Amino acid sequence: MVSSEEPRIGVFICHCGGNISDVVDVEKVREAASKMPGVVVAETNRYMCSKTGLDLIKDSIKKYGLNRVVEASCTPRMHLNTFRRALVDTGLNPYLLDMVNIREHCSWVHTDKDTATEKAIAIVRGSVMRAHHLEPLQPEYRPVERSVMVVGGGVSGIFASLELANKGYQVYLVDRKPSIGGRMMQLSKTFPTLDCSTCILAPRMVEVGQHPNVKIITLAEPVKVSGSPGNYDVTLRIKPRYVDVSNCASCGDCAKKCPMKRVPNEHEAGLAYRTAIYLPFPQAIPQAYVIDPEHCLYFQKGTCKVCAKACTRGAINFDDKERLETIRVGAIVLATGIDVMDPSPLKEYSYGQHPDIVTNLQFERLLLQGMLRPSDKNVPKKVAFILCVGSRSPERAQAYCSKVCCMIALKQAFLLKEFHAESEPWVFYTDMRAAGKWYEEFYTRCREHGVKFVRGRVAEVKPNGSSITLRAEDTLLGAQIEENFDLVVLSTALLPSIGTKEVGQLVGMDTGPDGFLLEKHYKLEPVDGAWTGVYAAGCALGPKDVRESVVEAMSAASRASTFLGGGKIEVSPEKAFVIEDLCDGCGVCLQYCPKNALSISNGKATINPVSCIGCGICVPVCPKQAIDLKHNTEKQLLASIYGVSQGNLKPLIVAFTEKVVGYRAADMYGLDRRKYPPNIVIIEVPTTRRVGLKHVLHAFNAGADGVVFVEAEDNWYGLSKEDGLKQFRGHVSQIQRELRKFGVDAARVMAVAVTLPQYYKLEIFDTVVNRVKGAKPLTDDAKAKIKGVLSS
Amino acid sequence: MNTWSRKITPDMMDPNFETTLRKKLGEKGEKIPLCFQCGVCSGSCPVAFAMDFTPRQIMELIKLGVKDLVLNSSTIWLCAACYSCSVRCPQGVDLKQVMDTLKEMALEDPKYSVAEKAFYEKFIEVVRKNGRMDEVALYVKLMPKSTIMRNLGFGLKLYQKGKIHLSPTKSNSADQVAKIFEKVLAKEVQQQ
Repeated sequence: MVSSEEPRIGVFICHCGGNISDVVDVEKVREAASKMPGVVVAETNRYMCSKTGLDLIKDSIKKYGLNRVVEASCTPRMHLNTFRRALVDTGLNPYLLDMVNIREHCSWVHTDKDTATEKAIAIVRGSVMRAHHLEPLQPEYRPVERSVMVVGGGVSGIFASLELANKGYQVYLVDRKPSIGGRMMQLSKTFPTLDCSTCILAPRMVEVGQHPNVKIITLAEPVKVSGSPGNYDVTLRIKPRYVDVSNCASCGDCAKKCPMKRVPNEHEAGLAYRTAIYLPFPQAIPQAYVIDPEHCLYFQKGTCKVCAKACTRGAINFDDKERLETIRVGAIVLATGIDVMDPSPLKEYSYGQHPDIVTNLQFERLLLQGMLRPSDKNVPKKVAFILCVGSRSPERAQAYCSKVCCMIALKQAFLLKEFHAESEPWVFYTDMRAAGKWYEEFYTRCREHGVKFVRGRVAEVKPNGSSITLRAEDTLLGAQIEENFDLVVLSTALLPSIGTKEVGQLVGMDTGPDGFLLEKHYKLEPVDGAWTGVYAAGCALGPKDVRESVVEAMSAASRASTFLGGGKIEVSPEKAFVIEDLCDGCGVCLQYCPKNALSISNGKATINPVSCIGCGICVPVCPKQAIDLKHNTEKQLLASIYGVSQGNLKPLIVAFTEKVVGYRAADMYGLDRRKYPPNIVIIEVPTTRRVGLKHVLHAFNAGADGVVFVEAEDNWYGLSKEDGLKQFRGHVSQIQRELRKFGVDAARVMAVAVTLPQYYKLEIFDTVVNRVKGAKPLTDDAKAKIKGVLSS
Repeated sequence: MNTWSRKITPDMMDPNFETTLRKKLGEKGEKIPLCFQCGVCSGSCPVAFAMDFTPRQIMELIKLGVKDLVLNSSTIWLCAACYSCSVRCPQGVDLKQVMDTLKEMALEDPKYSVAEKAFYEKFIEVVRKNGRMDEVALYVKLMPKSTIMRNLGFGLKLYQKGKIHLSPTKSNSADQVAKIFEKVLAKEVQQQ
């Protein structure tokens, strides 16, 4: 057993080609490290991550019989696995490596060479001392469910489903509407190729509908997600259809008899009517009728059931009930799509005050209905297309560009001209955005076909008898333009579909300020959610066209199959464990665990390793110190604290930094080459609540002059941001109160919560150092008191 | 009103113009750089037809720093303060406030002497003195004496129809109006 052997530590310090060595005197750090207890060898290299650097580590392990490795270089977020592999290659357990960051957290944030070097030595000392207590750990493996739930049955959801089903995964394709198809089924033709939208999508709908690996669940929405990556339990709320899908022949006899004939037709964007029992649209999948209880006479008044009498197959069932169904899946793909903004709050567009002022979605339906004016069914001669209605208006509606409206307007103007050669389409635009394959060429085609373009955002739309008057500035002329039109088309902003935020929350995916889902990494993980095994595609992530949606759907499917393909998932061994001899079964820990991983059995606390996320919150709250955390044990943490707190940096402030967001924010601070005083030394912890009063006292006892807690602002393990922040602040002020009893100024302890985009909030480090400098001195009396408590 | 050669040359630029204006506008000034020239302001403007530059063009000139064209424009004096532009601006630029501040800047410097500015100043003078508008008094203040003979016939017509009076007309509440002016001026001094 390695842990019982005498530690033989090798320290490897990287120049990073000057990135580190320009500021930190690496040779001095090496010299200091070689004198630290347990260190057998200390080496430097220009690039430790290069083959020569890695060979140096491997050769040293063999040559000196090393059983612990300390690597001081860039952030572990970059190369932890590179160096762990070097250990594995030589037969050492990867958890016997401790990697510390002297680039982002040192050389990039400091300028003074002497103090930066001093700090690097402190960081390495903390790591060496911690390395003494490292233990080999084995990751566990759990099987994954070879199935995927795709939420949303639009073009993205359909393509993601087909891709996954063809790879052999069981797919559950869920849509809250009575048919799959989504927005694309409402469109006339698609730019820039002018393919008929229905003609290209309907065959794929049939394919997905008939696929043996796909189960389509309509009228359903996820309401709860539990479990863990690879084994998610998704609970669906399934609304009643009142029609037996397998029995319905979609003959339409029911609808012919239905007395409720004036229900606005959603598929026609409100420009036509349907009955209360209806087929969503002719190509609907599943091909079956559905009853809309909100308009059905029977559900509203209690009598009718005419449709049931008309149905010769007895497919109608008024006793159908809403039900919950839980399905276990390995991964989840969100493809929840878009909604079209209601332009009526923007009064200047007069939407709703004239039947011939329509949205661009309604215009799609007009194109399919024969391209006549809604008011008098005449051919519209002059048609205005108004762009940026609600888009690019941070002060009035949406701040973002809805991206596809320019191309939609071009296409619609083109199709109008094709339909009625005598018509006169005018496009009022703010900036024409036709960036995409064959898009600019399409814009050219429109100009060739006589579409008129006015650069200027329309200021006013006023009904004027049977026509509509528009006023705008032609900004290229610098003149006002007033013109009458027969039909006005508002290219309204595209919004995330209703419930995007809620469904995102179920699977740990946040929404951005625009309301669309946030990908894990904007560029490099563009379809990944924050949780492993959760992906998103299409307009759920932002407005986009069909082609891009399909690309994303296929990416998400690929990501899901990469994850599930191995058949198993590695589970980190960094979990809490109970020292049974010390535990008296008081159960205090149970109320703190955010994941309900703790329970009491046979008078002792036990931890379910599947549920435990290794946050370590339970460790400091145990009155008997009977809980510890693997790879961040009490011994290891205290060794780090004592290691960094020694040395010549004065004042020295230990920054206990949450490992996911806090640590990365500090990385980004360095990446941005912002500066803070070298008096701050970061110690990575799973969460700041892993650190209790005891650790803070130890820090002061070891020579530290202050402590700062760096926490993630919105990573509270299921708590709301407000509650999480409250707990965080409560935890820190509790420590401050306790410290006062020892005569320690509360100004020596501070807290900051950051998010990744707001990494610059770490500029508070300056304040922290100043406050500690200005704090009441740490008296010998206080130090003696602390020492007394710690030794008792 | 500006007469210019439709060419902007380096000598017309004042690199500090936008900064100065933004400072004067305080918090509202922060929105000025957000203007992306969509033209909603000018499309909404009820008096744009009479302006030498549309409000949108004024914004562009501000951003380029062409101070003299802006402060010599008729736009800033013709603004009817109807707020349509401010209400509809998608970027939240308060154009009405911008126009007011530009007026203040133009008033500070006698170098800017467009007819619209003179009208504005004399108009205020007359109202301050008489408590109401007096066309004859305004005419005398505004126009050179040499024009009196030329316009005599037109004046006579107006007189016959009772549109103008030869004796100075003064509001009954002229002293109260004067007090308002005093209060406003005192407030302005206070703010400065």
